[in-house]
Amino acid sequence: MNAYVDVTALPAPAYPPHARTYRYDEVDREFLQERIAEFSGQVERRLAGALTEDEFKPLRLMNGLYLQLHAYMYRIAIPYGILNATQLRQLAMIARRWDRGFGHFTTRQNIQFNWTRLEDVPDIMRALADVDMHAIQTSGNCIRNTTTDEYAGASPDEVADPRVYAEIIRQWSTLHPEFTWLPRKFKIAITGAPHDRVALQAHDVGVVVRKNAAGETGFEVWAGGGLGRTPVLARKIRDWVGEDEFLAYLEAVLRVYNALGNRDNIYKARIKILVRDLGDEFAERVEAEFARLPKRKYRLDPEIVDQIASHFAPPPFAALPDNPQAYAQALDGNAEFAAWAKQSVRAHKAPGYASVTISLKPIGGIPGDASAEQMEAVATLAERHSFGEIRVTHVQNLVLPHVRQEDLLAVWDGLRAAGLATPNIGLISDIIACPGMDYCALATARSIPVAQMISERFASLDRQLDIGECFINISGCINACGHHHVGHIGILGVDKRGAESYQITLGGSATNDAAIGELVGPGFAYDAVTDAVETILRTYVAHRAAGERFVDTYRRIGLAPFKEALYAVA
Amino acid sequence: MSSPAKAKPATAPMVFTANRLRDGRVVWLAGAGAWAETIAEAHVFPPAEAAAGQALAQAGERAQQVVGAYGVEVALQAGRPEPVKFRERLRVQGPSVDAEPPAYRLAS
Ligand code: SF4
Repeated sequence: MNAYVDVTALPAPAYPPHARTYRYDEVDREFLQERIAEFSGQVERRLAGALTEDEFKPLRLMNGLYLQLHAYMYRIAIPYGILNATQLRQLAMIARRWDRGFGHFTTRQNIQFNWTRLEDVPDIMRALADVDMHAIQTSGNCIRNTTTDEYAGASPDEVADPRVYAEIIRQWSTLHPEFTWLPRKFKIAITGAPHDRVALQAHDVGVVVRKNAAGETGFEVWAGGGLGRTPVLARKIRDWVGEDEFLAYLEAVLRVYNALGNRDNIYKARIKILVRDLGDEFAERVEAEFARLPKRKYRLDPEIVDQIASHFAPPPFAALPDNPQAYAQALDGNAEFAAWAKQSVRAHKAPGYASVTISLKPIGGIPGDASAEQMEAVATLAERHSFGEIRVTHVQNLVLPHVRQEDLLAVWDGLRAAGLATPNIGLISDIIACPGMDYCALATARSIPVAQMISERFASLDRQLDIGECFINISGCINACGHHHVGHIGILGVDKRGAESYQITLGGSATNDAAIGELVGPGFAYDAVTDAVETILRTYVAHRAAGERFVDTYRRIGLAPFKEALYAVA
Repeated sequence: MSSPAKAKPATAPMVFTANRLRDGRVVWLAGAGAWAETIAEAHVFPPAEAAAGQALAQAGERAQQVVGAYGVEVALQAGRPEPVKFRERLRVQGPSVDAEPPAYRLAS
């Protein structure tokens, strides 16, 4: 094993104290300490044989500890996908000291470690608590980590900062006594921008923060989305809920679900089934419940909102010009840098700044994996260039949200040195893949090596740029953690008489034009799936009109030409 | 016992696997109360004796040595047990992908 890194010897945070991750207060800290003491005792009793696995399993799941194919897996919450540099360093330390030197970022904007030892978990919990982190609510039938826009607080199209309300949801839902034992797990996504970057309609509840003509904040609420065995897109149930009634309305949604959700059949227990079956009646029932709730009790006080919002105030941006000369010159003089910047650099609301998306998808690599060294490199870059902030995306990449444009070349250099400068954001090799059968006990087939084969096949950047925006999402079983239904090309690994077989769907989308992909036909063997993707893309290129993305062409010409190309008898 | 093969009467030779309680590592039933780290050391139960193997595996769970024990159908290759199912072959080999970064491999 690598040398032990002492937490206390970690460098003091170099980022200024305004780094915008929510700071825990004493209540949060006290609660975490109590939980650590409680779960440490439970682990001790389990190891001593005083608790059976049947007794222990719900306790460990409540604390984020799963048993997978080869080992325990520990899933750590990254509330709304936001980390500061100290936290990322601590995750690197945990990876090195208690795991195998790497972690896996998930589509829920969390991180999981694949080789956790039960006896180490109390120590890991303490190391997490040192940086205000934990693994609570990453499992079980509770309200899980709320996910949000990775460019929150940075994106020019943002109407309101969704982190404020994500934090309010976190505080409201953490150990909510009524909602700790829901019929099934419950996932909320929230965005403050009109462009959906959170896969809103794939969530149990999706929230869009809006402003009305008077400048007041309110929320558009969607409900009943979910992937898995029965993919359903969420439907809008309210155009506008005023800010002060936000929690009352969410409470009403959860109450209706808690009362009417199916608890007898796990496959019918998610809210999507209830909303699908009730249709408009679901929203009516929520309205009735909402009308009944004592509004004063649930009123979201503007003072509380202001207080939480103060934690997310913008960092002290310098007054800078857009497109400084140094950046323009670097782009002109360095084609490799320019190619990376084209994919990875995104406009920022503050002039002279940009957001950088860091690809965790090196060609032939494992989507979402980062080594301890890479985490540390990103933490250092965040400290130097992004006010100490890092975001995790639901596409399994990382983001440095607030980088000076004049620093982009230095950031690229740092990323390149860490093997993190693959210029493929939004391209065909920027693949979402769940852990699949290489790790997951529920899997019916592998996902990761399929992603690797496809990424290697399309390694040429010229080819990727020619294909343009195309999202491939891969899941290793029907649970759909890899969001295959909403990939432009979705791949689902199944077991076909003992062999891996891959079903392909086309035309899915996880953004404003959300759609569930259509099954193209019979599945493909492990060795044939990359060729099938190649055939699909060749068909697209042959049929596309000028400027059409893959999904646009698919929508125009439909499934037939793809089917024909894939299954025509030679 | 969480067993993919639980209700079916065995038709092939069986070995029994589980995760070690303390660290979660995959282990194989080698004999009464004995769990080994490699399948090569596993005791192979002929179909007729599968129930006895299952009883020993369950005893390992009750003794809090292991968790999640279940039976795995095997074929004997040169006298060594080899799981019939792909999933269980992956369990024997570990992940089919190289996830550990070079720094970890050098240090371990
Ligand atoms: S989709 Fe299936 S295989 Fe993939 S991580 Fe989820 S449960 Fe495991």
